[in-house]
Amino acid sequence: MDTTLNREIERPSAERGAPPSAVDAAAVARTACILLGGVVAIEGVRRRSPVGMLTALAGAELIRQGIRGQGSFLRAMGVSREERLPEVIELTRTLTIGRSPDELYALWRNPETLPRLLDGMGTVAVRDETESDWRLKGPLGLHLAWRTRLIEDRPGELIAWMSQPGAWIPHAASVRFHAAPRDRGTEVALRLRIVPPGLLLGSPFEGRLRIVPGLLLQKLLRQFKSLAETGEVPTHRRAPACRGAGRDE
Amino acid sequence: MRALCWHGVNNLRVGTVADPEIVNPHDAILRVRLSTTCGSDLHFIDGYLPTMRAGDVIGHEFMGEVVEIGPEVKRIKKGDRVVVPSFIVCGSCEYCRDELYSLCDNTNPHAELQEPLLGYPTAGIYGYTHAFGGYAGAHAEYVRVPFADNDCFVVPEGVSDEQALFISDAVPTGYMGAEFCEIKPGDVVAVWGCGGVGLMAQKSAFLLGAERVIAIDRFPERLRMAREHVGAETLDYTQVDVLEALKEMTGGRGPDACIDAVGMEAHGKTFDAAYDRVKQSLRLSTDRAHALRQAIMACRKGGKLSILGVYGLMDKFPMGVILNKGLTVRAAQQHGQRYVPRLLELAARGELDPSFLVTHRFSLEAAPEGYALFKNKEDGCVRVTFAP
Repeated sequence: MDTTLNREIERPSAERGAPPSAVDAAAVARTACILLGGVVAIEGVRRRSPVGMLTALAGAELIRQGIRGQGSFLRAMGVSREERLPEVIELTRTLTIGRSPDELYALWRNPETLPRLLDGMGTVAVRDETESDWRLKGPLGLHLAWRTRLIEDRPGELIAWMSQPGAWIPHAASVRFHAAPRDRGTEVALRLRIVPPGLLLGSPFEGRLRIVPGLLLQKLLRQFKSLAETGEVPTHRRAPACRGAGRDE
Repeated sequence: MRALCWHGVNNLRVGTVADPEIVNPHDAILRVRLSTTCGSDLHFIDGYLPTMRAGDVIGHEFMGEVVEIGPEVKRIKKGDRVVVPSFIVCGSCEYCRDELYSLCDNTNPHAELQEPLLGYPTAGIYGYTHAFGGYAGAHAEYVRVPFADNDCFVVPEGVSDEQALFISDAVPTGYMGAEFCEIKPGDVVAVWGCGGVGLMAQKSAFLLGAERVIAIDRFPERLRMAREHVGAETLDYTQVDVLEALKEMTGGRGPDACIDAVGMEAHGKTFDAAYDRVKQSLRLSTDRAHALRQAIMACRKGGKLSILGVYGLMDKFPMGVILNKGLTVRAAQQHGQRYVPRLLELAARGELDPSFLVTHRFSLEAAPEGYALFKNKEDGCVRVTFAP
């Protein structure tokens, strides 16, 4: 997995030592970028639908890139002023759980566990011993879907998996079990490494790639702990409330 | 069913909501027999605590009868008359095993709302803010109780509903506060606040062996309760200089232990109290902490400071006084499950009767008026009970 995730992303060579004519090419490309963005944005707004909204946002992003002279579109055209590489985003969350590494390993490998932990956030369908299909709820009613494959499995110690080609956000993840001191159980570390999609680089969404997955990891880990220690995941679902249908759904 | 709901700052209304259901296998459903107002509710009613949602059912101090149990409930049965501490606890995590119940790791579904503020999340509470779990409250006909085997305590025959009711929160909170004082024979304990928790802290200080208890408040009827029902000496802080009076009453030593049972909306007559009031009104600070600062100042050198009042993120906390006087500071939300069996036994033996706290008995339908009375401390109000 290291080779795939840490591989050097080939960078455009236009910037360094570019001949003077390249500056003109860049100016033309930036103007084109702004004009194209304007057309796309107007078209998006006219549609007045969630897809139209996204189209409009994409248009706005093109305009922004054109003005700043850098971004994924200009990079693709080989005229970006920047030299940034997509960095692999790495996140780890750790929690101590009052069960033995072997018990926790077995619980994580139980095909019913992950779907329970994701309940409300998305679904995981376990296809077989090594492959699972994930589907996470996103904003505007959109879904992120991908397939993962088990790449390392050491009972009582480590489970690692990786997204399969075609995932919009390529990533690798692992859960590691390490005996905690005294009778405290196991220190469980959930680790995620993401290759940010080039389109998001330098965009306002790039920061979200750290925050949202971090919250998700922490929530998964907390719910895993509760399930392991108590046999249930805490919830106030279906709680009576004086709103909507008289309860929370 | 009918339930008391929070609809915004100082906006409580009784409405019709869905009945609670068994959601998890260790759940039980209680038919509420009695519930009561708590001072900590006033903080979100007044809008000082974030993460309330319009329509939330409130109330966390209650007792009732078990009417339904989940498949994994073993000890509690349908028909049991039980009292339930206000914090929901799992009984299996490291904190529960250490009897630090309000720190339970497994009952707050919204841990992520607390972690940025506290570093680590606490247990969930019934009918409080969503940062404390967002569970539906008990000012209602029915309430869902998770982990029923750990959180429901059968009320012995001979202990009335009203006596059992306060063993849900006011009594164990007060008792814990007195236990924090590590009382030795001959000790003098001063308690700021004569609300339900303060009066119970005073009573508990005597039960744990205090020689003298000094109660501080400004409402004559509350001070009378402290004298007549608890046997405390009293100080009206609007009439005397508390620091001087306490010195005088303790031979110049100061109280051996000081308990703050007031919290973030303290009233006071000094400059720091007025300054706090302005800052809190402007939302520059969450706390008016006059009572706590006075307790820190009054405490003897090397004494114990026990904090039961609820606070936000306080500023102007006189750490230098605590350090130089070598005070021991203890604070917690109630670890109720640790004390309830002991307290029910004391009540059954007739050594503890907290029912004198009830000054007003209302139906659930009249709960908004009950809270208005309680908040403004009108008509001698100490605690209002609601019967659905």
